[in-house]
Amino acid sequence: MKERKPSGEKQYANATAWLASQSLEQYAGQWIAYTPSGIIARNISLAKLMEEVAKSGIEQTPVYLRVPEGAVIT
Amino acid sequence: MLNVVFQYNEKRFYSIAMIDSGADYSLLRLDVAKEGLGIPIEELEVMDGPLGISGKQLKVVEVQIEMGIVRNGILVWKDWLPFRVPIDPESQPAQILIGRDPFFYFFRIDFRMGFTKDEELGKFILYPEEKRRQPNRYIKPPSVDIK
Repeated sequence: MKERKPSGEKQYANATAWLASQSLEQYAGQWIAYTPSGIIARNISLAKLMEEVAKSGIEQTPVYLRVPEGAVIT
Repeated sequence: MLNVVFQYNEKRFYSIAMIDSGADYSLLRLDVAKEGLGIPIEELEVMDGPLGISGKQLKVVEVQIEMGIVRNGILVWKDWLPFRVPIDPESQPAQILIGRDPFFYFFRIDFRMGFTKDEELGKFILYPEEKRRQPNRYIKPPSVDIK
């Protein structure tokens, strides 16, 4: 039986669980793209970040987050 | 923070938004609108937006975007919401903000503390708004003249 790729929403849940365990202080002020496996790329520009993600050839749907400056998301 | 997915035409953008009960309207960052969703901002009519932190009048465009809420891997809600996008790159919100109108007509929102051992952390709880009060039954409280 062919393995089905999880939906974007399902991947999102796993990515959110991954994010909750991370400290993102080092990325403050930057955009990050992440999946359940971790951060794929980071950049201060969302456009450049999306280009990097496209070039990486990753099949999973990444979540994009701009990490706030002066605050840590938990 | 709210796990959201935005859709505009065929483009989807998964991100995290912040519920802001102090904001009249929802605000989307310019980079998310242009690069993330491919919205032709230049073609939209510019209008006056809210006052920025510095007190400067923000110029914004308004756009309808389909927003979904993702919870435990399931799309639990989806609807069209108006978002205002500040057009000045120097006056961007730090995050995507979900303001009161119209989101708070769809959900009753509590902010509750004591969910974690961290005293600074609270949690938003969203309930679908099902039994809305009738606006015509509202009685404005009398003003109190304090001398």
